[in-house]
Amino acid sequence: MKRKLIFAICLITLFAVNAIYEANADVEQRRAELFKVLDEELREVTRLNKQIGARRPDLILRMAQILLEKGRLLKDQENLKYLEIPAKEREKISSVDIYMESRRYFDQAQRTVLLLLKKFPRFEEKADAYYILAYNAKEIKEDDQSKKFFLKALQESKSDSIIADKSRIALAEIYFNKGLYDKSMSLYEAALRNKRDKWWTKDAFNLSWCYFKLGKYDKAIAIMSESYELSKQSRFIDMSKSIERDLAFFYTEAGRSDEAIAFYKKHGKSVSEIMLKVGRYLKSQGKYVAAEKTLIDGLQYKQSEKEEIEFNVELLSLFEKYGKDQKHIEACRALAIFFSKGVLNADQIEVLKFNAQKMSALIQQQLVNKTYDHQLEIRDNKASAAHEYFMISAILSPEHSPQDYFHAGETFFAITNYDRAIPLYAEAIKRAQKYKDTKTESLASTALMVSLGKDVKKSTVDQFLVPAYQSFLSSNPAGEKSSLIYQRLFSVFIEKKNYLDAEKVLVTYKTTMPAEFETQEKMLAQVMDHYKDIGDKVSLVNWVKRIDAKEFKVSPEYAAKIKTLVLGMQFEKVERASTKGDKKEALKGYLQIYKSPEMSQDAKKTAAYNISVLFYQQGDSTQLNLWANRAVSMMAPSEIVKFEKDLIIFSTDLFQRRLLSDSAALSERVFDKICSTESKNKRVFLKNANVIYLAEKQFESSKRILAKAGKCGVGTDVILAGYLDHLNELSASSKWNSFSEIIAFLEQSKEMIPQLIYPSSLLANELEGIGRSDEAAKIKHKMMSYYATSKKNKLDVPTEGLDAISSIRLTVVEENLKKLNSMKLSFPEPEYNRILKAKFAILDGITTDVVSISEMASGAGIIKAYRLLVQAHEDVKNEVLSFVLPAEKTPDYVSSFKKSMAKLVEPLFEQAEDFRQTAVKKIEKENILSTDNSWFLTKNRKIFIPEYFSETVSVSMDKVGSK
Amino acid sequence: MNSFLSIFLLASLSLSGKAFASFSEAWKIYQSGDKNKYPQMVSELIDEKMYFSSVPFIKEYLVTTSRVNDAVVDKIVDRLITEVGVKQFEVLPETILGKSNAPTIRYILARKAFRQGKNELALKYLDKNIEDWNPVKPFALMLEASIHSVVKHEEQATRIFKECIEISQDHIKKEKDKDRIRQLKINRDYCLVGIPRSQFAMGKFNSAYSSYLDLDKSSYIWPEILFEEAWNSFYLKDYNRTLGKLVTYKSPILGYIFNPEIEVLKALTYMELCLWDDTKNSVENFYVKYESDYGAYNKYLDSLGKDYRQYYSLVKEHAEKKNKHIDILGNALVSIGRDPAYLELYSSFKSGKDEIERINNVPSDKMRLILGENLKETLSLQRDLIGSYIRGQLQLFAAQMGKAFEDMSYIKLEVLSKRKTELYDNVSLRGASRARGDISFLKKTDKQYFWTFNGEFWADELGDYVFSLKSECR
Repeated sequence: MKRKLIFAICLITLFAVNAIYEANADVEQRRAELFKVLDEELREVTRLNKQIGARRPDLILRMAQILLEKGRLLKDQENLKYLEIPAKEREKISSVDIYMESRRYFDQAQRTVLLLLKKFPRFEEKADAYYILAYNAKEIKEDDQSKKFFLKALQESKSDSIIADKSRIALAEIYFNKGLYDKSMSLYEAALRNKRDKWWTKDAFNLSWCYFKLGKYDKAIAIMSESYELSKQSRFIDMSKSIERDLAFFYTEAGRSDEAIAFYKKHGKSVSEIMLKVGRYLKSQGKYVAAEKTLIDGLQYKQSEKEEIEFNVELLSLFEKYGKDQKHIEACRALAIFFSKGVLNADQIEVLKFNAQKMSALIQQQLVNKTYDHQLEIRDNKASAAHEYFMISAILSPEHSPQDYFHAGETFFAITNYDRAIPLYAEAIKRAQKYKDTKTESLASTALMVSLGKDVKKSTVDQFLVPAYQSFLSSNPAGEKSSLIYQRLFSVFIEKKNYLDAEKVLVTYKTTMPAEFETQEKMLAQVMDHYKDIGDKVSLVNWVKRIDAKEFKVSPEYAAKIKTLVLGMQFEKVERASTKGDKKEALKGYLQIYKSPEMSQDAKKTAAYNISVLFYQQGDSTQLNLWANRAVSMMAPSEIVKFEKDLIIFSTDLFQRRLLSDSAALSERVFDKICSTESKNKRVFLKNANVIYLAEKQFESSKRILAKAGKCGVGTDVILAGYLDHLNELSASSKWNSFSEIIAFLEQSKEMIPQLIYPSSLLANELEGIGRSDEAAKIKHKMMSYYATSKKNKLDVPTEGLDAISSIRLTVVEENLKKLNSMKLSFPEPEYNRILKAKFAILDGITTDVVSISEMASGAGIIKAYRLLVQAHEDVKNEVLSFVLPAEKTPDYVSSFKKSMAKLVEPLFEQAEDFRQTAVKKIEKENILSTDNSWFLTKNRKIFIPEYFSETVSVSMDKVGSK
Repeated sequence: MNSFLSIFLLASLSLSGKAFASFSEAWKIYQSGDKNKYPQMVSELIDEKMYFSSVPFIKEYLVTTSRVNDAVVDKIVDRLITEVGVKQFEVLPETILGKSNAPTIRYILARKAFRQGKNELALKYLDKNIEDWNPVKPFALMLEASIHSVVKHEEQATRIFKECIEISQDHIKKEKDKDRIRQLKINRDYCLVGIPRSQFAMGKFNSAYSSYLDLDKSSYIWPEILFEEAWNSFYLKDYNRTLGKLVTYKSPILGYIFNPEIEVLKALTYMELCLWDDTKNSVENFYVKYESDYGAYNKYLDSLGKDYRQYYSLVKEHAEKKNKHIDILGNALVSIGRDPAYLELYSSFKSGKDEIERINNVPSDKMRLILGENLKETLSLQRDLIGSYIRGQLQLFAAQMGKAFEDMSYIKLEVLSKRKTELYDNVSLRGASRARGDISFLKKTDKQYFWTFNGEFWADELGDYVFSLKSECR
């Protein structure tokens, strides 16, 4: 009993293996668990077999069953692994290798069962053994063997045993799959007498199909219904989904549709959903009439838009197949509405598209072939239907809609209904342009032109002629005929006073027919006359601008004519005000002209100049400056030359009104403008600008304009003078950065050399002042060189230059004087004599130098030199006379010595006095103004001599007196 | 055997109502050579408490006589068998035994018939009236009731078992011999559990359950009956109680009980609760514990062959710890040592040995010699009977073990099959939560009180433990 129970469980699990394949999320985990269980089972059976001495066939059978079961599980796993291998690699792999492990178990199971049958020929449960063999064979795809063993199992088993029924079911399935429904049916019937297990519903489902295939509809429905009811019970496999799908079909086939509906209603199922499924199934089986009926019936029960769509989609092909045109178009129409709502899926759209295109093409073909020419009403209806299909198609594929519209037009053209064809052609053209379908556009435009030439209503012509021309031109932009169409189109627009479109035509014509400028000029004239007539100066000026910009080619005569016309129009009113002396009004008018974007550049330029004149007259320097600059910037050089005197006046006015920078800037702007001209006033503008820049310490601006001067043909004399001014101003302002650069530039001209001495002396002084004596010495050396060069070239050296040179030379005299005084007389007598002799020698040298210096024309230098000379003589004389002899000298000696010495220095005193007199004379005669004058003139060296010092912070008047 | 026959041939006495009171009287009868008078001689010897020495004389008498139609002789036979035990006479063929109408002999015949499955015949032997006072009466009633129980005559069985209990109790009251009292109590208790056994056999598990509770825990047989109660609970699907009863065998005081079926039932119970792991563990533990021992045990039994003397020595030597160490053998021997049947045999054997001393007091040398030979013969048979019994028990254990292994394997296979079914049926794999020991899973009757087993054994709780495991069946 126990053994029986266990084997029964085993058999159940054998069937259950199928179930595991179906939908286990944790199938891998389960499989692993099952492997463990099976291995454990196998071990236990082996242990038990050993324990009881291998005498029990049921245990051997059990062992075989476990082996088979494990083989099946392994195979399942191997299948998965095999499918995971990429297809290309799979081809290279032998399936024998893949399934080796499972095959090993199947073979082992097979051997075990065969051994069992051999060893225990009278084994009561041979049927079980055969059953395992059968299943084993099934696993290794030996179908015939499998069938044979199932038959054997059936034969060996008791008729009402589980194994008998299972064998029947297995055989029934084999026959069912082979289409042997009668055999299958008998076996199923026998096996299903008892509702032994949960699979009954599934097997009954198959039996039901057997009945159905054999035309036994009532039985089929009955058993299916029973299976459906039992499916609700948890102890049976739930086949309800499949049954719900198939039962409707059975009912339908049996002509019991009403019962089907009642059945689904009763079970709370969606009738429509089922009918849809059945309809589809019938279609797939080629049972179109039944399918159509089912689907139409089902449509009545639709529960959603989705279902309605699906029904209609399915019905389309059926309506088409049976020529149910009206229904077909209604279905298409319904689907088109759903399409517009965006609720069709891609496949449904494709179906609708296909149907619309197919039907439209079909009907069009019929109409073109004049199939219905003798049945006018049908013909017109057909045309309307075709039209609707085309429109649906156009909605579905907007990018192809130009063709759809064109074909719709062609359909009406075919039945000579041009008034309906024309708008469709026109729309086709419009869409073709949008989707850049040039071919369709060309075809449609030709068709449109042809149609318009037919006997059509005037309103049609009025509405579509222009589009016709336009589309023709769109398709045929160039060519002789097109030229004519352009002119016609232009004329139509002019006639309609549609100047905007007329202008567009003109512009297109100009682009496509550039050589036809005479025609363009005529068109232009018509357009401009229109603006002139209506007084639209802005538009007129715009056109003039476009002509000026060479957008349109016109004859010179015509160009001058319109320019004069425009300027005259522009200044007419302002000039009138100016003439009347109403300067405010005139100014206002000029300002308007200047500001108006429509006004020509010439007008603006003239206005700007006139405005500056008006402001000059009113003494408004700021505005003068602004407008003069604007005018200058707009005027051509030749125009400026004409007005340069006025401009000098303007800049002078600005200078006088202390707008120095503005004055200089205006002068420079004018200078720049007239640079290339032959104007003699160039140097005036240059000088004015440069002088003012320097006065304003704008050295960079000065350098800029001087640099331009050469290129503008200004004379070197002017330029060098400018640079000299620049140099002097730099030194005066102690700006030494670019000093050397300017010096270097001026050195190149020998005439400039004498002029360089004084500025250089300022730099030398600056360097000495900051302790850079070496650099100062270099500069001084250079000054001496300039002086020598000047002398050599007999060039006059400015007084400041001479003063500077003499100052340098006086430093030598001062050094000698210091040396003279540093040598102190002393005894013994020979030493005294030697020192005294040396002193006289130095005194001679000083005298020579002073004479040389006095020959220079530097007043300050001369007076200073004489002062040093007088001092030298008097110092020697005083030292000799005041010398105190050593004490040991006898009084006689002393007396003698003093006498002789007094004699000796007597001439020195005289010479000193002479020199003093000479100096005073020179002061008086040569009007020398020197700081040393007082030394001579006071004649008393002990008195305080007042002297003037200027301090750096003091205010001094500069050239322009600005500070 | 030869001596037995010679004695037998001498006996030709016909019994009279005269009583013999001494060895001399007995010797006289013996010397007369009249075997028909052997019962009288035996009666004289019984008076001298020479029971085992007398057995060959009665046997010889029964063999030689054609029919015993003497109530006196029957009484003598009854007295003798009561003293030496039925085993000495069970070895005689039914044809010999059938000559006597003595209640004890009828009882022996009924036992033999019952053992042979001849229930009707057995009942027939017992059908003849046995007086309530007869020492064999309680045992005869137990046998009769058992036969009725086996043949599903529940009503009769119950009635007779009840009578048995009553009669046994009467005899206990009158009896002074300790061994006899023990035998009677055991008999009474077997009759007492005979009632639930009948009920169990009739599938009346609830009634059986209550009836089993009538057996006092102090009963000698209670430990072995506990196992039956466990089975009864099992059939009542009261698996937690089954396990509770089985766990009682773990108690040290029941350590001598060796019954492999206890483990089998435990595994089976776990299986019924769908506690697969526990079931498998029980199976595995059983195999681990006994598999190798079992092999050694069988080899050892094979090595003993049919040498009853060795078997006889086994129990004794085991008690003296002289045995080879094989756990199962030890368990079996301990169990046999506590077995009432064994004890009865052994007790008789011991009583027989006491007769050796008494033989020395026999005045006649010849008679002393003859009685000595008889005693030797009888005790030798008794020893062989004990050895045979032990052998039978040990072989029974071997068979039970073999059966237990087989059962355990089948249980495991069934568990594995069920586990497979679960896996195939898409039942979710076992979760972590496994509520064990919940009192709500208990089932109890009004007669029943229970103790949850907490790992300790207390005498008054034995057999009342209950588990509270939640079934994991889905």
